[in-house]
Amino acid sequence: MGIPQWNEEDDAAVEAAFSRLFSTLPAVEPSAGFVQNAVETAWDRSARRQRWLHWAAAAAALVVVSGAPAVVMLGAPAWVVLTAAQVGAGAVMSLIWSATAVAELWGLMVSAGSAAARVAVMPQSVAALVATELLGAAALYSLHRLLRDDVRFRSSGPLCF
Amino acid sequence: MTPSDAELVRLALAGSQEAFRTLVSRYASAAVNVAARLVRDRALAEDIAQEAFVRAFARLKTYDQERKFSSWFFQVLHNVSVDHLRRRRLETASLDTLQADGYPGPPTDPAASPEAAAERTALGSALTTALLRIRLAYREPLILKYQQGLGVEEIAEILNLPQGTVKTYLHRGRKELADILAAAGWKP
Repeated sequence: MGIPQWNEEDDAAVEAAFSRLFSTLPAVEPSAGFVQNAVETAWDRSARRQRWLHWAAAAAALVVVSGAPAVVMLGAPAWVVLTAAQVGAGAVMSLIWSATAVAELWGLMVSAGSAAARVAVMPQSVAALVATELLGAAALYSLHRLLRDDVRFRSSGPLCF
Repeated sequence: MTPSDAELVRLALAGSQEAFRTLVSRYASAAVNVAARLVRDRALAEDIAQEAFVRAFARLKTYDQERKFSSWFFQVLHNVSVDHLRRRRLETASLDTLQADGYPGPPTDPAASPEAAAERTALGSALTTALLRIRLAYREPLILKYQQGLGVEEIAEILNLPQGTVKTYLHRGRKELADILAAAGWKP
């Protein structure tokens, strides 16, 4: 029995020849306990994984349920505070800038309001306001009189020259 | 009636150990044979095959039942073998080492003459050695095609390679194998 020509023109002949060649390979049979071992190992590992998953889920729940109150009650460790401060500082920065702008605007409005109120409550200011009011009233009265005379003159009839 | 692979997978997923045992029995021989051609010793081949079954069981939920189970399983076996080979740089084994590791002789035809049977045994041994000397990239497609009888399309799926690449590897593998056997004194 010889080896096949690997580069024969006839593909089918090459395929058949190599199939025959490989049929001479010694078969390697699995040992007697192979199937049983494989099944038991697969089952054991699967059960172990399931147990680990359950434990991991229970541990995660325990951390969430007991960890948060513990941190609050016992005080957070320094690294937690530092991390929270770093994250918080970055995230809140823009908010701080906005709040500063609003506060400055509010301060300006308060200053302006205070100045106006201070002026309003001064005695001289009150006197000046009353004088202005009286002057305004007198001016209105004079204007009214002038306009009344003018209206009377106009309605005296057609002009006759 | 013999249950199909897909039915056995469904039963195994439902918790039937017996169904998984049937599945393992069905593919144990093929798995050990393929692994034995990729690594140098029989015990290691059994370990790799066992690990492939364990990994396959762990990932049974990901098996698409539209696909052939054999393709999916050989893909798992290929991954386990490659992982192993990456971890350990294996030397090529001599025939003596393989025989000492418990490889049986090649299958012999009872009707054949003693001379023909002896020649067949010798060729089987030479082929075993030659296979271990060629590149793994060529060796695996050759084994899957000529020992397991898989088609190029299926091999491409298992090895995650384009079909053209598989054909190239088969061609080069055949050439290397023929060259090694010819150098060892085997004539066409």
